[in-house]
Amino acid sequence: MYKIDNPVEISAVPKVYDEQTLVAQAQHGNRAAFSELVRYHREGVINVVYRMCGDVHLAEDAAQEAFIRAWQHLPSYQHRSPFRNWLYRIATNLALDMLRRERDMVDVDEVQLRTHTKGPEDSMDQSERAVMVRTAVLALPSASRAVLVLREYEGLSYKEIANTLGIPIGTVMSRLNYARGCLAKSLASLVDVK
Amino acid sequence: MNEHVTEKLMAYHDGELGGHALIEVESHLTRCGSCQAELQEIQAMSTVLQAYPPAPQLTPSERFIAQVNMRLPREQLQPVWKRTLEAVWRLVPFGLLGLWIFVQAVMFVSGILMVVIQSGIGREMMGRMIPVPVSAPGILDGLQITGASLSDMGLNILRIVCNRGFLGWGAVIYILLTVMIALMYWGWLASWQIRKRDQFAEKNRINDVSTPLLG
Repeated sequence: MYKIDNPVEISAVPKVYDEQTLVAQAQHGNRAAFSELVRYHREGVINVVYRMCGDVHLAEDAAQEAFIRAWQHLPSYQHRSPFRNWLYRIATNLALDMLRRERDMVDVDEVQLRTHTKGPEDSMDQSERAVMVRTAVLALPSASRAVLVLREYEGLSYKEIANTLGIPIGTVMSRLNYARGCLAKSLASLVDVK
Repeated sequence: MNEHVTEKLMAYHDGELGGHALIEVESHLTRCGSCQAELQEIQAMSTVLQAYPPAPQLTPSERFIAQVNMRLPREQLQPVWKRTLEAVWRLVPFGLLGLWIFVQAVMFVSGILMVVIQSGIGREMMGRMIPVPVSAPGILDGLQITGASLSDMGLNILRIVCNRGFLGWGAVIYILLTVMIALMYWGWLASWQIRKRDQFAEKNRINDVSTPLLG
């Protein structure tokens, strides 16, 4: 696979983002290369967890935990699927575990108050709409929410979602269908407006 | 074609259809107002969902990376097969020690038995338990049959060593086993030294290059 014979090769963190090389270097214990991977995927991982749990503080903590787990298990990572999907798998599993643990502790309304920051340019309509959508998404069962988040917000294909969550493609489709059906009911007013 | 393609609309919207299914849905949509309306609803829902904003940035990127870096454990977990191999490799000296103890025990017990038999004590009893033919074929007879690959000189040396009385077959086997165990142990020690040297070199190489991104 990636055999690094020359010490110079391992020392050079490329200026252009070359994920495969960085992953190979990080697998050999190169922390600088792993930091580059964290820099590149930080936003995506935080967003996945944030949209799963609705709390930005929890999302950042879980994202850090996801990166630490990724580092620990990096030698086991095989380059069959994209590194991003592998990271999302860790992050999603963490988020699902977290949601299971804190199901009764996280109050959706309180989370909204804590995390929603309204800029001066926001119109009332936009902020209301955002709150409604967030409430509707967070009200979905966590398994369906995970599929919806990966599809709608991260743009993963059904196959990638199936690999990420470790479920069959048929289950991905049924969960997505269920999630969209629920959202169609809860967000009917917004969809009608469009 | 009057049958609706409702169940395929979601996959069509997500760009998951191809080939015949894609052509079927597209041609149906040109004729069916009901399915068109349904597709528009799915598209509208996707647009509405984009109102859920991404996470606001609480921690600046560099600080986040530094925090992750600080929490990274020193060692990474190796894959299961590597860990198993490592554990087996570490157990090799114990296995060799066990084998050596076993050989010693067998030689000791067989030595005692030989003494007992040769001194006449319990010969009768042993004779009843293990009938020994008066002229049992020697091991070298077997060697003569199967030892076509051995050179005549080698065979003669073995015969002299075993039959002239200063070394029995038991002693030869004992020496061979001991030498084999010793060679295996030395081989293991050598590979252990090489591994240590490689690991040390690798660690130095990584430490040289993984300068922290942030002070």
